[in-house]
Amino acid sequence: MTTTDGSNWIGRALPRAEDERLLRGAGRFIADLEPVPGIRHAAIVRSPYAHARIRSIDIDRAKHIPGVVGIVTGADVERELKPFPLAVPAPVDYYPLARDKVRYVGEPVAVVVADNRYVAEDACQEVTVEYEPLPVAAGIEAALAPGAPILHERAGSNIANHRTFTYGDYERALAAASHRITAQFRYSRYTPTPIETYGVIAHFEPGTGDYTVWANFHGPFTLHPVMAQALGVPGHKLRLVVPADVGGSFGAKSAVYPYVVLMALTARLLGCPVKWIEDRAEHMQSSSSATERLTDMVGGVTDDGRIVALGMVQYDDVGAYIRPPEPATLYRVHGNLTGAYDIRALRVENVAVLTNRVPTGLVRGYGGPQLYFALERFMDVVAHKLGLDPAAVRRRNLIAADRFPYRTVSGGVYDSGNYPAVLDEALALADYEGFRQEQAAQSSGAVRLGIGMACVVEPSASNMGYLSVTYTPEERQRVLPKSGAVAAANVMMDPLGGVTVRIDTAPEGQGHETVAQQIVADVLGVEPRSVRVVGEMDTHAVPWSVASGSYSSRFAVAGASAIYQAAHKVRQKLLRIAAGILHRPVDELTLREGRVWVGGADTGVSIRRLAGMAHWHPEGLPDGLEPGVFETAYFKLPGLPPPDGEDRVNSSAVYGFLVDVVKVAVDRETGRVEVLDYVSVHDAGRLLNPSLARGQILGGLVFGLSTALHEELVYDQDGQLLTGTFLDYGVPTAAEVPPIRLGYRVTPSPLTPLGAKGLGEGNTMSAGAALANAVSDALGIEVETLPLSPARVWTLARQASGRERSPVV
Amino acid sequence: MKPAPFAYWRPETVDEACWALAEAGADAKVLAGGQSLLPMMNMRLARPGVVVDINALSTLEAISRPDASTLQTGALVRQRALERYAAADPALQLFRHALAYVGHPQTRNRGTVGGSIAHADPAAELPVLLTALGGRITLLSRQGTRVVSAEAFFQAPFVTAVETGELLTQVEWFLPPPGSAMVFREFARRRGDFALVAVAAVLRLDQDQRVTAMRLGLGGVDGVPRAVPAATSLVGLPLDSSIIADFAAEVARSLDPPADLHAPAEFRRELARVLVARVLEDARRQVGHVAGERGEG
Repeated sequence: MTTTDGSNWIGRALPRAEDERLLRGAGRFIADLEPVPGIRHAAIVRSPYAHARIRSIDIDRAKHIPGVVGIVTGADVERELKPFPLAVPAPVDYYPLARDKVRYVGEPVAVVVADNRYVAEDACQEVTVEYEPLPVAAGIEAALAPGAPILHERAGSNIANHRTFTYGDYERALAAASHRITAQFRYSRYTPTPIETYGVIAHFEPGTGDYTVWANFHGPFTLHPVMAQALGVPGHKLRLVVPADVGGSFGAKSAVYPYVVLMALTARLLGCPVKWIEDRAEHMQSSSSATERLTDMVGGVTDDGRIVALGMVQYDDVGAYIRPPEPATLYRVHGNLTGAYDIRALRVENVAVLTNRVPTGLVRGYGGPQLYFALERFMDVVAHKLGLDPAAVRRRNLIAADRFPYRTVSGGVYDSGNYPAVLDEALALADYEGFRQEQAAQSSGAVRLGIGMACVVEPSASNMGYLSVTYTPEERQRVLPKSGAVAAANVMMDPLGGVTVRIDTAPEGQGHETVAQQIVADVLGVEPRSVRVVGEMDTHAVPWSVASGSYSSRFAVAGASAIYQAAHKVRQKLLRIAAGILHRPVDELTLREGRVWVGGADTGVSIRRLAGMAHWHPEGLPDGLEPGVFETAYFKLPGLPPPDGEDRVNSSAVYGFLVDVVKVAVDRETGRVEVLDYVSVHDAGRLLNPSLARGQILGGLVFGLSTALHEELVYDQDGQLLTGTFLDYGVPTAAEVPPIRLGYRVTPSPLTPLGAKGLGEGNTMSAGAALANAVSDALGIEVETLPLSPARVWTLARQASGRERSPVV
Repeated sequence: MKPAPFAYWRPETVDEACWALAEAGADAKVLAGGQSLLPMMNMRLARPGVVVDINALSTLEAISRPDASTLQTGALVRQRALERYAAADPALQLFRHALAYVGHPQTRNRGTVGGSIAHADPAAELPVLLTALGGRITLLSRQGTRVVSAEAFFQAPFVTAVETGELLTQVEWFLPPPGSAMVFREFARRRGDFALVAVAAVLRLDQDQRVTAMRLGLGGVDGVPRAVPAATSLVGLPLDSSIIADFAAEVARSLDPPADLHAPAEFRRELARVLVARVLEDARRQVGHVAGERGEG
């Protein structure tokens, strides 16, 4: 779609506007801010036990340490706060500080505020907590076992939510299929480890009762009402400000919100502004985690590999509380559970399990890695069982190119795509056939070659109504409906013609400011670098709604569309003013190079003059035109109703597609997996900025590969985290990045004005499956869990060879 | 992650440092590159009452080759400095290869050779290298100077022969004669991680491919770096693939490696077998060449 009369900035690889300040060290992150005078510093006393009753807390010695301002404990929280509203009907009270019991290692027990963090940490060690340890349920199996310790007595069991969905004629299709193939997969816990940890500065004004909190929270802003309700104030009494510079999140910082509430309360009770910067040890142990997922799969399959029925039982370990928006990991992909395949009978049973581990939350890919690891591994299992090529099995099941828009059996509406073409392109780019020949000719040494692939339908811009399926259709009758995926933006022009854009997307480093400049530059016919984009989110200054924020790959789809729409409102206003001056109809006028053009002729009338007139000379404006230039747009994506009576829901607004093909060499003697070549072909519709798109893809891919090879939060049976530092938790460095080759196809989305789709999460969903498929191929086994650490691969290789020792090469 | 309160002393001379260490006694910790001590202090796993910062002691920054068979490194020599020094000297290629495995360039810019030896992590590279080459460590205190052999220095994980009041001032490394093959290999989860198993080998063969001398050091397989006594058993034998395989299996059998999160004991033993074999194959191929060779596990 052409968006402008002048130069097309959209679609160009414009360098990031954000980089100059970041590379000069002039970025302003939460830790740099001192927005109010008199700030004191908080440290948190945390539970050393995964499950224990709190007998007593003695703060007497700690509070008399010089420099200590005060201490907040569970008793204060119980008295002053309400539990966070949940996304499920289960009675699981969740507060930001433990009250009678602790339920995971690292759970906050007390907040100590002092003149500086050093003294606060010294004082934390003088807070004496008497615990009565309780039996621990440190994983899904332990929590579901008969006689398992119950985390929340009022809930009666450790199941926080349990729903079963049947779509199509599942039982009959399964019974009629000539093969019934089963498999079980486990996706381990992991965490995205942003460079910047959580940070909160809370300020309370006793004169007005207003809270202002600065935090590196990036949404979803559905959680703003959750925070306000916990504090017991109307929404406008909680002003939330997010700095323009946030040092990454990859989802994790959505879970800073309990600390927003905790520090807001602490600031009020102690009578001073409070700053809390989480340290790395706290972050690793007690911030958030992806869910561990156990999936039992069954497929009804025809002789030629066509899947006619798919059954999945998904157990999610959501940790010690079902912290909103959980159990969304189970539901974010509900509309695309059948992936890229035309499967018309589906049964899904979802069980959210409470365990004595840190509560879970958003992590890049949210629900996708867990789903696609199981689904895409299952495609290979089907191929192996039937003696077919994995690529052929996928081709047989892919949704055909002429089927779009395609409605999945669980309610998703895939807006556009050409899946077989992307698969073909990826296989060709990887020289799949050539590698198969190379593989057939390999010698019988320690190193084995393997190739694997994964096809992923990548959802973007979540439907705010999808989580309602945690309620039954009957229960949903009793609550108000939710739907849509709204984004908002504001574009204003000052009396000198400067353009300022406010965005509601709370970027975490993705480069939203750059793309906003490109969009506004095209619509208003100005230079992108002349457009000022305010990256800071402020609930008192920026138009926003519940879906605001950066998550679910929504910027290119929703945020960019709102910016585009707001800029168009400004454009229309400028053109109406120009029409009055030039005595020409609006539809003859265009904006280019900062001026008004009629056909190919420059009128010499600048948009600076037009904006100036709206401020300086309102009497001269055409009749009915308001003075000033200040336009706000709330953009609503189409096609996102609440779940229907059959529990069908279009969980995301648009759907991209990608295929990864990876080649590996596996050393059976050492368990080393070397990635020889990684190919990823994306169809994300129109790319707004190819350079940023490439960066997003590479970042997602490296994260996906790292969770496939290195990263796992490992707990012992007492619920103690064994991978609490970077010594043991394997984040990737540049040295771990393999050769990567990318390809693109472009099928624009018909649902967004710019035709763009999200693309920053897809490879976190594909890489684990693709790599596991490649290693399975190399060793002739079925990988069931990640990460493929050397010890695990070595064990698998030994099982495969059935020998104690293989020869040295 | 803020350290518990501590006193900070920064002596200007080695004498002052010894005085400080004597004064502070068992409550003191020496700060050199800080790559291990500071994280431990920040996590309050280490709580020294006194930190004696030796970074002003520029006399400990010297690297020297007093003769063809000796390398001396002062306690404050940065790992990166030794890596650069070694790059210019064909006889020191093994140092270059081993140091490339130590953390990352950024950590090697701070981390010191003396600190790594004194810290005595059983999986660290430099102690393995010292064990394979042989050498001695100079310890200074107000009572005088003590010289301890590499074999006697490493006593248990993170425990060495350094006594209260002593400062490690110099490490002396014995270099093998020209014509020796030298290989360092390690297997780690990621680049820059501590080794699951590391192997350093020094090998000499005669014209008939018979072993005339061999020294082998292993890391990650015990509480201290291990010199393999069996290495002498190969002397006089022709080094072919079958002898190497038997020898590697014998070495592995003799080990009782620790287990941890990343490597069960059996896996570690197997890694040791594979690495010893691969290192000796590398060394055999290399004999006659002066340059070292390095490889991924």
